[in-house]
Amino acid sequence: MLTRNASFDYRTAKSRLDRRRFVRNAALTAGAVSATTPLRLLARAQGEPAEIRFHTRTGQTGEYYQAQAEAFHQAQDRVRVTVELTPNDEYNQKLTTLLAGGELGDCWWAAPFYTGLYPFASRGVNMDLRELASQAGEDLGAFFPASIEQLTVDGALVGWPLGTHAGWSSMYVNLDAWQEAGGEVPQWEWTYDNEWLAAVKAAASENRFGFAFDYQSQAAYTFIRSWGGDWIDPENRSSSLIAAPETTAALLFMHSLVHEHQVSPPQEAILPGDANSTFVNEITASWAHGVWGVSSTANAVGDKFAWQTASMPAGPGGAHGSFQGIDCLCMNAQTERPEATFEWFRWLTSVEAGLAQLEGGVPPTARVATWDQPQMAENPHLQVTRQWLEEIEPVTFPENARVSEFQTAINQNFQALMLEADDPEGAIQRLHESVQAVLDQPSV
Amino acid sequence: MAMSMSRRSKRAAIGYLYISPWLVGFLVFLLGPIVASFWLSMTNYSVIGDTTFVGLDNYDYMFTKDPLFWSAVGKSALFAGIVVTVGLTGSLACALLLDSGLRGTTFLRTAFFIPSLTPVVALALIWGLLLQPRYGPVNGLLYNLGLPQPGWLNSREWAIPAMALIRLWALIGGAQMVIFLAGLQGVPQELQDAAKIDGASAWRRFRDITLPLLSPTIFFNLIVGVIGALKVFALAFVATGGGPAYATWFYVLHLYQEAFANLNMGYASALAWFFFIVVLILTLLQFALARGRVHYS
Repeated sequence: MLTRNASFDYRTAKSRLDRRRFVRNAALTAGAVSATTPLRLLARAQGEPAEIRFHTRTGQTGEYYQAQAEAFHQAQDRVRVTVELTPNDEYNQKLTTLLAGGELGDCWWAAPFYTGLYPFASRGVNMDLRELASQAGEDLGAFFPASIEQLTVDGALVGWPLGTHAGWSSMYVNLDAWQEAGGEVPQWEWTYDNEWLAAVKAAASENRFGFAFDYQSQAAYTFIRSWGGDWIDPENRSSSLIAAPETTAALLFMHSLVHEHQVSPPQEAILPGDANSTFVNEITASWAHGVWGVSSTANAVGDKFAWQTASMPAGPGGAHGSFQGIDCLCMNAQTERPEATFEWFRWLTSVEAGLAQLEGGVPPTARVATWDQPQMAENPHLQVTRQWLEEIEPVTFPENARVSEFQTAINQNFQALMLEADDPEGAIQRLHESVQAVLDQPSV
Repeated sequence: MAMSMSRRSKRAAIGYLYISPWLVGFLVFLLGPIVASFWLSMTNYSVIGDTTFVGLDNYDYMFTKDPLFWSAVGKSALFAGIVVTVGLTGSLACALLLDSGLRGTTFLRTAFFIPSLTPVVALALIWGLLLQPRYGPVNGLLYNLGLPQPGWLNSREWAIPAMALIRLWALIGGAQMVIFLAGLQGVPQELQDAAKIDGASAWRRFRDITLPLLSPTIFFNLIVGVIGALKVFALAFVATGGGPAYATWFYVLHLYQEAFANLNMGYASALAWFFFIVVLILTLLQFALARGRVHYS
């Protein structure tokens, strides 16, 4: 225990650390560091692994990437990946803050509706991967063409295709409820306004809705494009098509499911969370969602009831409309380890990883050859998606890259439309004006 | 004289040295960002792009072109109006109850105060379940009583009243009540006794003795309450996301969306400065109106 010496005057005592001793110690330390630096660099040159940082989201997919990182480390010793997880709701803000602070990692997961893809790419944050792909002998033709098209911005490949999906084109059907109603499981050639509507009405009962959908822009694509419409004109990407007859007809049909036919739950009947909870808890006999939700739904449903995925129907003209979604891996243009990072990309998009993706809650691989593997070719959920992928187009994004504002305007006004019992046409017009106001903004 | 000034200067320097950690923190983390945000409000700063000076364009957009600005102001004002009025009245009523000498006052004081300790996120999630229109227990009770069951957080008409209800549940009985209680303790009992002897009713004693002497406390709670209510954000962010259909798109939520979702940091800075000026004006207005109405002993 330290005690103070009452007779010792600290104000006048000399410091133990005098200038000569300090300089001598500093020189010794610097010498030691200098002497060992060549050794450390040599160790790295001789095979110390390159360390890279990868950002992605928490949850089931986060666990998948952590497992893939462990497998990657066991398979080779050149690259070590640190997977950094962030909750989905904060993911965009996290990446933006890291970038602003100069702390963004070497690579990150992204998707078209997230900041890390188009908003970043429009500001030169993402590396063009074409050269790396060429050096590594990767053939871009091995991926679905729409995947490469969606990830190409001004000629640069700003993301590496990881997974693809056909939007909200899968219909999750509670077979017990469906068979109780005596209905046939929806078929590919059914149309919304004919056989499909009849089946959904039959499946509905006093205590159960027939069909549920999420109240947001991406879920509405399946209806809108099946009617031949779209949110934005794909030619100029700056004109709203919401007021066009085709889009209006699709939105009015969705509205009628809730208000006229009363087979779909209104906002207040959807359990907190999303329509998945509503399906799992048997409040609805069927639900529109994407193929990536198969494993989580299977875990949630367990043995409660038998279920399967079927295809969402065609529009009145017989067309199946949706959007081809894409999950991708983006590389920081400032990374000092591009080859190491691309090696991680190639691992995640290999045939083996592609086969594991679906179990990890990641959309199925964008690599075409993997879809021909038996595990995928014979998967009934993926067969539905494969049919869609051959018919649908990519998402049309605003020309001014204001993706977040665009989505917010649609989602909020779409809710207003679904809540509007008496004047849906007026609500659609307000939705159109709100979206056009965003599209009229200057580019970011 | 010169030596005295030198010694005074030296003492002042030592004093500044002692407070320098706080001073540095204040300059770097408070005043610095405030000054920087004022500058940013006149730029198109977007965090990850080039920054250009745009003058007053952000303010012009705010007042004349932003389709959500005025509705956000209105919604925040409505919410604050409900919460401040009912909150002050309710807190004062609870304080009067606790000051009346009832049995179990200590238990009641604790029971009233506990809801104010609930984190906002937990508040939003729990009340979201309680107020679920189809499956929540609140509407279940209303149904059993034969009363109408509103849509609460899923209804455009009921979303703000539902938010106010959640906020008031935590507010009444919290810090405002405790401050009122402290103020009531400062009302001299002799005045009450004298008025009672003179035949004044309970209402007259409250109106003519308690309220005037409590006016400084009411004034303080009013200022703090208005500022706190106008700042509503976390509750709307977690419970409704600003919906349904922009029904709970409050001002600070709008600011957050512009800053962190749309990356319009320059415009968000302008929104922040407008908010600061409004709160400052409201506070000064309250001080002006307080003259002649707030009685300090």
